[in-house]
Amino acid sequence: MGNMKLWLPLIIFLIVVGFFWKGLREDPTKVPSPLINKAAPQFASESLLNPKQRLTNQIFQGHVSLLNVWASWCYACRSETDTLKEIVDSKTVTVIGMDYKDQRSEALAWLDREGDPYSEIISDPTGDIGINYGVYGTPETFVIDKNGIIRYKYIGPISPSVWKDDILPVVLKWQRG
Amino acid sequence: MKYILLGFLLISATSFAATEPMYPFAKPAEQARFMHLIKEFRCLVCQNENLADSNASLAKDLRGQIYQMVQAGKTNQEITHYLVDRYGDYILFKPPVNRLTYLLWFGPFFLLIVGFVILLFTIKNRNTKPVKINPTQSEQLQQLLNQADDE
Repeated sequence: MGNMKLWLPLIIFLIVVGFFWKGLREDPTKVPSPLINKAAPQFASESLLNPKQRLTNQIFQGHVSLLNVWASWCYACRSETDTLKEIVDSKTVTVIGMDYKDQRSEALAWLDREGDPYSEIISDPTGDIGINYGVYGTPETFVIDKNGIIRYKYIGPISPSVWKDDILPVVLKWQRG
Repeated sequence: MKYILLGFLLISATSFAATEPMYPFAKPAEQARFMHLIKEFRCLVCQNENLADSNASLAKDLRGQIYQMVQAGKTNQEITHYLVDRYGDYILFKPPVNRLTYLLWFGPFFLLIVGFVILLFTIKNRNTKPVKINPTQSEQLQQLLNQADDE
């Protein structure tokens, strides 16, 4: 019992260190999405490049997709365009964009300047679709499986290492499954 | 003190009004419900602010959504569900009681009980353990006590 008393402060200290170790290493701005393993929310919108074309959840059917939420006013989005182009070149997955709370003319100018990696871009000028997808900060990237179920969400710009280590394994898993 | 508080209230009132398109309600009760609700939810962009205080554009959008839902007669529970379905429990300033938050909700009470148990044991041990001394010590003690009496 006497021995136990001596060790107790050290044990409590280690428990506290454990909590801090875990808690302080996590980025509090990255909030886990409740939409994982749920069907991608329904939407009906128009294509940014071709406003006459209506887009719905049908675009997720039959193949694994990356849904990348971006905007022309989003500085961090600029840093991931190169990675997105590499992903498109690797032909592993369909990359779909969502232009979030943006003006069409500015978005088109941005695509001209930075290049357009997307096979299709959903236009969401009011941000209503974004709210249904739980978007709170651009860029955000969802992995959506061939049945239109959200399987993964990454918050923040995608770097080559994020793609290779975090996103690609999920994509490959759902291409098999 | 009252005036200082009033001053703070006025400052926050103006900062809110300056950024906001007005949210008119037909019934004061609905207005109160709206004002109460937007204080209950966290703005995920600037996480220590609630939806009422935040100037983030997402917070404005969500205020708009909540306004429409209150107008449409949705209950507080329905509105909470709507937001939690999209943004998760994290949007709630008051976390729900569930498997993940048992430690958060009951941990302090648990520690309080542990503290009481330790306290009781300590008191009990202190009262029941007589101090054993050998005859020489006993003699010394007696001498000390006698000295104290003399002084």
